[in-house]
Amino acid sequence: MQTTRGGEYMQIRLNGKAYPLAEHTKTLHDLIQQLNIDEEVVIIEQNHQIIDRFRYTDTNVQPGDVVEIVHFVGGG
Amino acid sequence: MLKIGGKTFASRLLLGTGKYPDAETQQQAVEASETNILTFSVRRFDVFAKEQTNPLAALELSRYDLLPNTAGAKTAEEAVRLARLARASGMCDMVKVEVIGCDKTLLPDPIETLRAAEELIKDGFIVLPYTSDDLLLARRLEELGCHAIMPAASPIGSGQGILNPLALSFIIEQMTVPVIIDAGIGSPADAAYAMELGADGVLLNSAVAHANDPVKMAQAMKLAIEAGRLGFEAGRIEKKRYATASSPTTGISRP
Repeated sequence: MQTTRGGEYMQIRLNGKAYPLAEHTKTLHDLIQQLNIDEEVVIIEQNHQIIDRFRYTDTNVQPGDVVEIVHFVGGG
Repeated sequence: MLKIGGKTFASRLLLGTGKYPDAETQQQAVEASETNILTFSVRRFDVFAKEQTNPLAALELSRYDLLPNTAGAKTAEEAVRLARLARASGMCDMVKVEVIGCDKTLLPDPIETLRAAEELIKDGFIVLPYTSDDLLLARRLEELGCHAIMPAASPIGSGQGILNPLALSFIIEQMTVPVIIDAGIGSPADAAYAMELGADGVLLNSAVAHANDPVKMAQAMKLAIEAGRLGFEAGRIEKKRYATASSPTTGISRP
């Protein structure tokens, strides 16, 4: 079942797709934990703002947020 | 030594990290090339994959200066965003501005490239734009404050080599900042030729990554670039219509 917070479905748009948040996912740090990502290798943009790495723990994730998680890949 | 934006590099080869058959070959090719500068791209992390993989895991990135590109951008705004995302990694302050204007030829959009370069220079980046071989555009980019100019030899990944040496040499002669021949290099001969024209460096990827033996080709490119540079510094002889004997024409012994 999808969790709600204040009656709203806790859903964000993550890398172009709808993504349901776990109830304990309150911050970007929590989101990274939920996704099981090594935070050293990614860069996060929330609602078109790049978020500094050291601010993940105090940056809240809200329903409806647009989150992009990117990383480096091979290229020329 | 190659100097870009206050940084100094022993190698004049800038190597791309894309399209290698596997991570081990990529790592060995990078090693064999003895490059100091690696290029790469910014893409979505596959957050929905069961197994998370880091495509650059085999490379010890801290040993290199990193040159992220803005490949995928079609507008200045998209390029600026990708550059800022790359810098937010805390691993680099250089950027290869790449704004593609045509999907078939992958030729750069000159207007968007200029706009992106201007914005990124204001934002404190070390800016290396991928550009066509147009001299006037190169001049405009240099006037904006770009730290190097990177004209294409021929279309990206085409391996056609240097199609217009005259246009490239006009750029090389007139720029104060380094000129790095980027895109289209197919063989060591192409890379050596670029350096003999007086280029300050060569950026290539497919020529190594898609070679039958990428590791051997990486070494070949390193040697070709060194040879081409030495040849340029030495100054080649003029071309003449007729032969000039290398051996003395007097004192010839006849029975």
